[in-house]
Amino acid sequence: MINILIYEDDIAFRDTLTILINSTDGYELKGAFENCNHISAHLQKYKPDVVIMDIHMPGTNGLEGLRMIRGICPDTQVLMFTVFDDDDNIFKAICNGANGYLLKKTPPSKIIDAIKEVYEGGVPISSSVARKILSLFPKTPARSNAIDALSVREQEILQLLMKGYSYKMTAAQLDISIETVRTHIKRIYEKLHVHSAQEAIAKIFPVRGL
Amino acid sequence: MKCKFSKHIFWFLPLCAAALYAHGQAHEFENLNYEQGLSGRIVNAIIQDKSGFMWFGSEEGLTRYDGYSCVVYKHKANDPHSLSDNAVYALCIDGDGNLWIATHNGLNRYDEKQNRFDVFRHNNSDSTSIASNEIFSLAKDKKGKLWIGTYGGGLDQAEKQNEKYFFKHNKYAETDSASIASNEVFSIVFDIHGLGWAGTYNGLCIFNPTTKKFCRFYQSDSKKNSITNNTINRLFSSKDGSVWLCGYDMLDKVSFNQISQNIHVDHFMPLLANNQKEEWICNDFIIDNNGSSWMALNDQGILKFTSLSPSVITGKKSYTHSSSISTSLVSSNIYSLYEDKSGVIWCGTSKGVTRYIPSKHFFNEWMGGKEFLPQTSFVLALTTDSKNRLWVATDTDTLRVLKNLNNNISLQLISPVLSAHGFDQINCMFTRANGDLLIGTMLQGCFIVPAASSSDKSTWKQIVTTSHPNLPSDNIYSFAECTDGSIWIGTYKGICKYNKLTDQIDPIYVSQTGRIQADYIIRSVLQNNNETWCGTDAGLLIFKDRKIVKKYSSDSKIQKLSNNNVSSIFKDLFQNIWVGTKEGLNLFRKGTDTAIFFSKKDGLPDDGIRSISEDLDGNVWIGTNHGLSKYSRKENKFYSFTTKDGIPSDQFLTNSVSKGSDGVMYFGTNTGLVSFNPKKIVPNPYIPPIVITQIKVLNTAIEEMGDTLVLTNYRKINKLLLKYNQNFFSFQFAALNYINTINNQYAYKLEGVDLDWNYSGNQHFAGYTDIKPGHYIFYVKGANNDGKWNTKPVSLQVIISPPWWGTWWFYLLCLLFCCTILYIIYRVRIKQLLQLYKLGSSIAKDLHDDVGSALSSIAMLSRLAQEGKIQTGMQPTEIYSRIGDTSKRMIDLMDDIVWSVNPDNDRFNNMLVRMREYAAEMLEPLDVDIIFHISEQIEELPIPMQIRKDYFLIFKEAINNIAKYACCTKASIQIQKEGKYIITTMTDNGRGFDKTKDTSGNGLKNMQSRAESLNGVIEIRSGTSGGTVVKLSIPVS
Repeated sequence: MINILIYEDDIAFRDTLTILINSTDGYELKGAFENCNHISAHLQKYKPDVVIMDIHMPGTNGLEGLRMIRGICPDTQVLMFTVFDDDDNIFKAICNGANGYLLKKTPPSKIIDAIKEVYEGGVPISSSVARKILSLFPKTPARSNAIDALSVREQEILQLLMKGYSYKMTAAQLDISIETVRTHIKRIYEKLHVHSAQEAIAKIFPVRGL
Repeated sequence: MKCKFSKHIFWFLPLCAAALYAHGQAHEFENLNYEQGLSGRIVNAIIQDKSGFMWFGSEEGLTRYDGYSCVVYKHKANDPHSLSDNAVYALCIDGDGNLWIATHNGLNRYDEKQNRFDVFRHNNSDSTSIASNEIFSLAKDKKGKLWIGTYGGGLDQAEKQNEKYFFKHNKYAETDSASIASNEVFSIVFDIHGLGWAGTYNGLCIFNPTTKKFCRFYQSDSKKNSITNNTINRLFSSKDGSVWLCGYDMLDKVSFNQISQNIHVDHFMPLLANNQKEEWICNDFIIDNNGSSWMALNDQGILKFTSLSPSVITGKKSYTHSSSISTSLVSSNIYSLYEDKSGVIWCGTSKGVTRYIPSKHFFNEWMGGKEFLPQTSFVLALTTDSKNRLWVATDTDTLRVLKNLNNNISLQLISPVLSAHGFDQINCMFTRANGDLLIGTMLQGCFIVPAASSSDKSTWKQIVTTSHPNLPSDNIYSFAECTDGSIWIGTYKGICKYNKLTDQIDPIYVSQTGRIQADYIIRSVLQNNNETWCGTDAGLLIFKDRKIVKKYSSDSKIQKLSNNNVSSIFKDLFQNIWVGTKEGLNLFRKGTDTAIFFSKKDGLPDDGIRSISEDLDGNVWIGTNHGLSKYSRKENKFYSFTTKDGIPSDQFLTNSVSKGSDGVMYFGTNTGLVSFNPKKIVPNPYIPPIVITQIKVLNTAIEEMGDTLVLTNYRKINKLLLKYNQNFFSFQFAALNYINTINNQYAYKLEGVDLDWNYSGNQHFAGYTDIKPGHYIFYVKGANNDGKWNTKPVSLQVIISPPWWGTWWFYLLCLLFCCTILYIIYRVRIKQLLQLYKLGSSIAKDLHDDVGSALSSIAMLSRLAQEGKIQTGMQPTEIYSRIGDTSKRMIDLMDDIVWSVNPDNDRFNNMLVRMREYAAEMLEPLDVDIIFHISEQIEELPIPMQIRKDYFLIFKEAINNIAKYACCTKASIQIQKEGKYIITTMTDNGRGFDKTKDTSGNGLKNMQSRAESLNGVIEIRSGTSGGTVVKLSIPVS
């Protein structure tokens, strides 16, 4: 049973998610709240596996909440949800240690898949967001070392993705199969993401025992 | 024992002999010589122009003098407008005020405005040119026309026509007896009747300037009434209508009878040069405004005399140069004489110019006084007796009795006056009311000299301690007379009273012990009603009835005196008492007990007072240690006179003063007698004209500036026009007063800068620095040496123009510029705001249209689903999917809008990313191969905000159509730039569609309208089989 907490200020969406999760086997919704003001108490009480966090909320907003989760329960997975995919928020969320990032327009089945994936240690990112994240990489200094650690092919793929090429277009451009592209991307992302997330966390929250 | 000379005729010999001793004091003549800037030494001609400048013509050029400095004009070989020749013989001012200069080689007219000369020379081919280049004389006739006397060319008359000068000639013609006597004309004058007189080489000519007929007069031995010499050097026109002729051994006074056409001649030379071995050459002659005649002699200096009638000469005074006397006349060769407007007599000599200032000679007026006194004699005591004879006691053992009758001095000597052995001197002399004289000596007491037999010493009565033991001392200092006839005698050891009738001395001050007090030296005594005032060396004592009733001293607080050492006491006409001390003058006004103090700061030349007297007008004259002072009763002001003003000596002696019955005052000094008529000592009444003599800009004279524009403007319009960076300027100015010029005073102001007049004392320049651009007027006024102000100031406009960036129109331009900028900013802002507004409203419009309608449909569908209505023909699932689709559509639309207004997405690059994503999202699931062909320059092209949304939505619509209807396998998107257009072509190899059918709602219409709002064109080519091409052309902004 996967325990889930939801932080979302829009009633409609909160209710929709609640219905969605509860109606799915293997997932149990422990609580749905409209802001993060009491997140530390909730974490102590419910000890969730996955937290679904909206970024824009009144009071303590999602990024703050994310930081608190990372501070109190470093093992809890956090899935960021938002309506708009503007770069700033994505970047901040990744820096603060978000495990996944989804747009609210993602279809319901995909949401469940993403929760599952994040629980299992994956990195669910909607494709457009993934591309956005990747396009940010050269801009941030923390990643420049990571870039060098990428292979030539990986760097090539990265460049194309940054221009908005889909995996199919990338494959066509580089004359490789889509599967290869996907594999490469996974690897890229793991490297970069893990690096950045860890670095970011290491900077913000020095290792402390919980 | 005694000598007696009293015949006045006899006196001429020694007088003349004495005259040959140049006794000239330091300041009788003031010199201006070559070393001081004069152009040359031998000065032939002197004149004062209408502005007041003095001009001197010498053998080496022309000089202009303003009292301070000289401006020299000389001939310059390469300058046709310079002086024609350096040897100047004559100067004249014509009726128009022009200065004419006669030289050895040509006639010149000075052009004041341009500071240069117009030269006139003889031209053989031009008969209207001047007759000869060598010109000796110039004169102005009654009409103001100029006449020129040449050497060899006769007499010329200048005529002016249209600014050009023509010369008419009068030459000697043998056959014409009415022509001029000779072609060598040395001198010309016009008498008060307007007749012209020409002195030539060979005879005198008198002519009518209109008729040009000449009457000739020659020397003739037979005719007594003829001129002395045919060669006439100079002529002088006298106010009485006669003309004086100067020449070799000749000074003739000639009067012309117009009716009889005859002359009457008085020969003066024999009278003046009486019995001289050498013959005198008279070079020039003038009669000054006071009626004194002056003769310039070629080798004998200057002779001054007064002639009341042809045979009577009085007041002869000779000035010559003596190398042994440093203060004598600078040279005995005198060439010219001139009296200026203020009465100064200028003399051109062989060693420059010297001037005689009449006012300075009033102190020496009493001629002969000095001749009868040794040079360095102390005049210790003076008195004037009842016969108005002046008794003069000097430090020698000789008493002189002088009588001055109409300038004839008779002298009586009484010598030796005192004891034959030992040294003694006369301390004081006093004249009693009855005419008796009292003489106080140093060792022999006092003598009473009876009026009747004053020269007979045997009648003198001596009062001495041996004969009158009550006399406190034999050293007598002062006398005073009581109303009862007794005499106060002030001695070295106190005061006493002498009764002539009883011949008794009554010692006045007796101490308690009965002994005669020997405390005070009584230098002066004065009887004031019933008080006796005694000036002692310990203050001022006032006796009354044998007791000291008051004592004034410098220590006392209530009865304060300026100094304890009292030298002189004097009671004036108004019963005020003046007490002179070693340090200051004290005045006791009638009836007051306290003294008013006067010292140097009140105008006295020195604080050490020696002698006090008063003239007939009630002015008090004070002799001090360093000069003479006049206290003017009317003006309540002190005037000072020193050697600079002509006083022979500055050091006056204690109580050595006397006043004659005629008002002449006599003061004794340590080098002789100062005598003068006080009425003649007046401040210089001449109001001097003020001129600006030099203007400097940036410390350079405007004549020497590289930028000649300033000078040209100044000469043309008499204004100083300067640029903004020439705003440092200074003026030098002068008040044209030639008497003690150094004492001139000035005041100036620059209107616009100075609030009030700056009184600069005797400084005659003013400078201004760093003046801001603007319009200013410089005013200057001045006063002569005696403080007589010329209150009409001279003004000069100074205009400093601002730099081009300082002018009003530049500021206006800047202002306009700023306004324009502000306006532009405003417009741009408005435009921006408008754009934002438009954007906002277009977003609002979109939201309203698309989103609003979509939401309403969702709402409607939801309600339908809720109510479970099936009638409409829609299954619930259909309704839900519609709702879902519509919702998704909205989300996408919002997304697009947000993306398009994001300012970061300003390049085509960003657009391409989104396009690719969208194409991939829509078409890859349908297995369509997507190819993007983007030409190079597209990527970096900027996309303005207004375009993004519409462009993307067109693209979206096209892709949607491909996804929905094309059923293709390949889709290609091509974007390239063609000229000014961006062409976006979306091609697919699908089914195509029939354009005429109205499909998919407003999809195509939307595309059209969006293309239009982009100012672009959209082309849709489709056939039912060959695929579809959507081509969008939008202009590059």
